Amino acid sequence: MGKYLETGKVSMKAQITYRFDVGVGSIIPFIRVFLAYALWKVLFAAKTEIGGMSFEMMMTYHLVASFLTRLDQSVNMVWDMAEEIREGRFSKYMVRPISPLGHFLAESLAKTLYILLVTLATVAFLAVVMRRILVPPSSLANLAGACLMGFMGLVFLSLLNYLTALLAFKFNDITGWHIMKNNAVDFLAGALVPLSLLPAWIQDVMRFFPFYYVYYYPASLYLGLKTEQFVTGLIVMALWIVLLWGLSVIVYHRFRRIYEGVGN
Amino acid sequence: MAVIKTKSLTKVFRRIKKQEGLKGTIKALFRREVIEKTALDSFDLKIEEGELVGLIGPNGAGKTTLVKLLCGIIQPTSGSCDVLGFTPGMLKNEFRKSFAVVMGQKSQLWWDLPASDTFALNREIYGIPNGEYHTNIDYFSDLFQVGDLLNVPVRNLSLGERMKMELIAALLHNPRVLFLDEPTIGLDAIAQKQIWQFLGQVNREKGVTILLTSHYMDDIRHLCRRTVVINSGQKVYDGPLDRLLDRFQDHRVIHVTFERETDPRLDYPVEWLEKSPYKAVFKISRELAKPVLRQILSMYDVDDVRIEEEDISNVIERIYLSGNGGNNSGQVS
Repeated sequence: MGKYLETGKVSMKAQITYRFDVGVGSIIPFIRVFLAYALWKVLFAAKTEIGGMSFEMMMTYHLVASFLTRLDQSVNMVWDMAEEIREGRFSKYMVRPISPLGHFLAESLAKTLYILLVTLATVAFLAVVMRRILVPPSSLANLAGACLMGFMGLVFLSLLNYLTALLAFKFNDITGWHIMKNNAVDFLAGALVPLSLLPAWIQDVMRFFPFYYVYYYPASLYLGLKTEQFVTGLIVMALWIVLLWGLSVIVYHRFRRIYEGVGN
Repeated sequence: MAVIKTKSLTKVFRRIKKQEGLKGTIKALFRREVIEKTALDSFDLKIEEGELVGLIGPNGAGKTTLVKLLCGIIQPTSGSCDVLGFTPGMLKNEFRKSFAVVMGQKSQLWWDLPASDTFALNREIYGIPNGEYHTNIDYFSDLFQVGDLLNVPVRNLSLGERMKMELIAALLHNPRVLFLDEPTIGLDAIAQKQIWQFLGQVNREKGVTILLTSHYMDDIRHLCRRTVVINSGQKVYDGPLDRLLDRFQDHRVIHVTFERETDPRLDYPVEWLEKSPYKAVFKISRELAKPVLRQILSMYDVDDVRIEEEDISNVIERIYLSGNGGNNSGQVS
């Protein structure tokens, strides 16, 4: 375990080098909140509730969802890892007694932690600026539940992105697949619009899939909605995480056999 | 005791062949022609504990492929290899703790952080006890005289300094076997010399078995008592380098600089490569090099003489054309 903690520590130190980039990057996702404000302001002109949410709840939803989107750092690490595989630099993970999956997760979560610290300032600023149109957490218990679910969502996304990066062993270019997957995840996880806008039967089906619990459910829980689905959500997420973990291990051991480690 | 053993080790890579032009690219989308390239062909090798062996050959000869197979990075197509009693391709943790590899063009150092951070990470990865870790850091940084560079970000180090840090990172956990793939590539003469001294000392004092690949003859000459020559994936020579050169270097290129304008005329058959008032470069058969030099030194005012050895790839080509495979006794035929 110590080696993964140290990996996280080193990764975090490296992040500090890019503090300017991280600072600027922390603002970009929240531009989405302002776009949402413009859009929902118009839509709420004639209504007081859409998809079971008031205007204030909708804005809070977008702020929470944008915050969680920003926290997922594994999505960017796919490019690095795919390049390392393509250019033969991935060998360094194979020859040292460390699991590439463990390394990827440790690095991804360490980056998330760093981004969390930096982004909290932006969130606090927005919370003050937008205090009239935001709602506070429904309860401390719901806030804690949302944090736990959000964390599990990040672990799930890290595993999904690790699996995506592993495809680079087999295919030269995974850009198209990665972009398509990102768009699908953004939609299915509720990063673009709350899933409560979809028909009820689709929501029922989605509850068995992990994406529902990645952004949409933590944001809903923060707002005090759908609290009765918490335990089911935990079980579904835990099962998907175990499944993806197992799949990641199997796929790595299969694919590393076709790795050629090109270049000197 | 042999710590590295390979038997009929073969690696065949499959490559996609594409016709040139747009038409070829479109055609390749639907139908791909796969060609096979044998990078290593029935390669037999045995290295005893504590040996420092040089693996030399031209580009594309199969040196790096052999190192990758011995590290478990790639899988053999057929044959077997055994390193310290492990099958490398299985990548068991115990195996990975017992060796290290340094590839000249691939770094394990964190680019934006000081090398000391990578060292600390390796301490955790390899589970190096604190005392041993600090002793090794002191030992290696003294040996390389890089104590004041340990806390400088890697991106601010020179190529030579980075390679020294790579070597320290690789040796911190006291590996029994060290694989080095072109460790001096791109380095200047001073850094090259320091690395030779370092590796020689590590081999002598710590008993680390070293397999060094290079296409620089100098690397091998300064370090290795035993040389394995590889070409087209096959072993063509295995034995002392001197014996190899004695037998297969058939000429020398001699560069002479004169103190005053000179038009040298020699009694021996030489091939003039360059002749100017103050400089002459010529090629001569190896056995005539001595008498020619003696004649030049006695007849002309010589400022400087440099003897250039024949390029390793020419020597290897000659061995290869002689049509014989190598064996472990150092004889080619």
